[in-house]
Amino acid sequence: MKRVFIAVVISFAAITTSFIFWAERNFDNPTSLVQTPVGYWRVSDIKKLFDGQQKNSTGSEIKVSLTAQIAGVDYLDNGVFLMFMSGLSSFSTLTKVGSEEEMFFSHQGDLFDKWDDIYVGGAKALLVAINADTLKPEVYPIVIYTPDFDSGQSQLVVYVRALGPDESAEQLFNLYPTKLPVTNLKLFDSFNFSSAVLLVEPFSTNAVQPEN
Amino acid sequence: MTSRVARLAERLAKGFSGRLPRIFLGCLVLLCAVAVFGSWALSSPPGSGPDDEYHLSSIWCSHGYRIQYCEKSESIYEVKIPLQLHRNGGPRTLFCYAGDSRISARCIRELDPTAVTKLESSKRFNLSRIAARFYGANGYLVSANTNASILRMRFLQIAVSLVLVGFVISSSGERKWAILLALFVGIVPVGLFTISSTNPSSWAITGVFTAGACAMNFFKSTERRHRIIAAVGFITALLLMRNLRADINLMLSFCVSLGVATGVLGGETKASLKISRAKLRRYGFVLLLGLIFFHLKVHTLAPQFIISSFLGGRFYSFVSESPLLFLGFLGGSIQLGSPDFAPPSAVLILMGVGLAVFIGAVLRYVSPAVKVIASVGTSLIFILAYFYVDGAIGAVSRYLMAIYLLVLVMLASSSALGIRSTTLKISKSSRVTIFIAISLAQSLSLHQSIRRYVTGTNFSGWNLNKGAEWWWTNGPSPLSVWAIGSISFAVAIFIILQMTNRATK
Repeated sequence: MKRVFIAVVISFAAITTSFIFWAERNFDNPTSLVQTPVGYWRVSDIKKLFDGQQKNSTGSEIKVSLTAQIAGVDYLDNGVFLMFMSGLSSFSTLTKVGSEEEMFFSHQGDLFDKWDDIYVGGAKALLVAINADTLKPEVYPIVIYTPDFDSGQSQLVVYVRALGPDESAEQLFNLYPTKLPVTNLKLFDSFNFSSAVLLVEPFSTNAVQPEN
Repeated sequence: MTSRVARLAERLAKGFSGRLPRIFLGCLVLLCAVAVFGSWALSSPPGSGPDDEYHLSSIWCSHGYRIQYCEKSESIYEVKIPLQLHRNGGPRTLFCYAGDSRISARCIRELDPTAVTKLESSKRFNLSRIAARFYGANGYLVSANTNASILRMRFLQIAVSLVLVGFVISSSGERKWAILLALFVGIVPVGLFTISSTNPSSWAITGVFTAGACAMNFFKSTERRHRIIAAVGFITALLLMRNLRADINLMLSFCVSLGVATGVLGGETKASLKISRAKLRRYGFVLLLGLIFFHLKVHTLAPQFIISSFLGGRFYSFVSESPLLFLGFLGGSIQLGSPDFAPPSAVLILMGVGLAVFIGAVLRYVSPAVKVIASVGTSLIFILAYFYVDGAIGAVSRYLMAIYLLVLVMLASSSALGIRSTTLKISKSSRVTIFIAISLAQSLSLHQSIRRYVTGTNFSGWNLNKGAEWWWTNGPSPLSVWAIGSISFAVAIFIILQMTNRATK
């Protein structure tokens, strides 16, 4: 009797395990590829978010992109421009290089305050926008630094310069492939754009220091 | 190989005949309980708990203003919380599926970034001290990933509940299996859903029950070790329950009174007029309880007030709403999360049968004093339900669940002691009926709960994976969750039924 009982228990366990194995194998979750935005807001959280909670985790390369309804570039002096982006979307999109994992980063956090610490010497970026004069989309390889974000107006003001002769935009074009015509900023000129997208070079999460 | 399996089978067979340490079976039951509660935690999407928009907002704001979690609004009566936590935020919220049982909860995986990053003012959050400790504890688990945070919170609730019930079980001595049986019978399905949710009733159910059961064990136990554990459990539950719900003091008063009465009157009494130190302790405790009663103004529920209310023309709410609330314990009314679906009708029948057989099996071993106390407890459920309805609070089973569980535990615990030299013996037919009825009721409720959220209730079929839109990205599939939950429950109640009979032989 006891042997029968044990045999029943073992059979039951085997059937249950097989059933669960079968269920897992035959389940294709349609929402598994849908990325839910999680919206981390502090720069210090970026490392935790992309690399996991372990302190000794390896770093990741993170791409940043921003979109705005209107943008304008005005020449200041010494090869420096001032760019404003108005009607900025309420978040930046952060994407891990080598994966499609996207995170949405609110501008009300401290991303722009810590920009120059993350991108020492400025961040290379591609400004993809429709030229208001020609109404044609264009791509401008630029370097941006010292951003200033006005949360009330949803406006970003940032210093811009053209890429130097020793600086290459090749990595940017590899990461953000485009067939649009590439143009350079011309000194002493002003530009007006609509539907602007700023695609910024990746930074390493190792450059982000966790908060104490 | 065959001989090895045979040897293993032989060893196990010997083990079940008594050699296998009971601690192993206890651990197995604990493991099964975690699996059952875990399955229920996974069975419904974030935001599906009762009044979850209020409770989640309160949790998000429990640690004051925090950037992007809870920010200052223009009005002092409002706070800014993420749009996804607003009940009326339409499809951009965690509640996008609520109110229409025909749609799945897939929409919570498709919230746009604005729903997450945009903050909107809300008045629906906790400003008082009520449940502040519950919200605060869960507030530590808030993160930007709302789904993951809520899942972690559900498991926190499960852990708290298991610890509290652990005090009751470990202070019960040989009565523990009977008490576990009562809990497993009483907890399906409302308790299983509520305990693994982000509703303060999760703590309230187990906390109030623990306080009452520990008070009972304190007076009933003859071993010093059990008394100490009961006292620690009682104090822990009291500390945890402080200000947990608006009615918590009333519930604690009733449950502790029932527990003390059962412990004092239902224990093994050897009448003696000698005033021993133990007697003094007991009387002191009862006196303390009386003082608490007066402090909490429970005496304002004077008989004339009760009678005048009944004569006030609200008699039908007593004969209609109160029984409905009782049926809610058995899954007979809309009680599981979103008020747009209820467990299948078969659950009510199965639970009714299971409960009736359980009561019938244990009642003959219960002393008359405990029967009277249990009747008082059951009456309290009906009377309090009447007052809840009368006070426009609503007849919601989870509010009174602790009393219901305590009454079952009182009966089971008392029956395990036996009367007039008889000991509890549940017949094989009763054990089989309880096992089948309760396990099946649990399994059907879990199936329906998962079905509601993965496809909507207009979809039928046993295979929960077919066409399922599952909102968790990690972990088992819906069908596996159901299988694990159902099998774990069945295994646990099987062991408990067997051990209840053995422990009292």
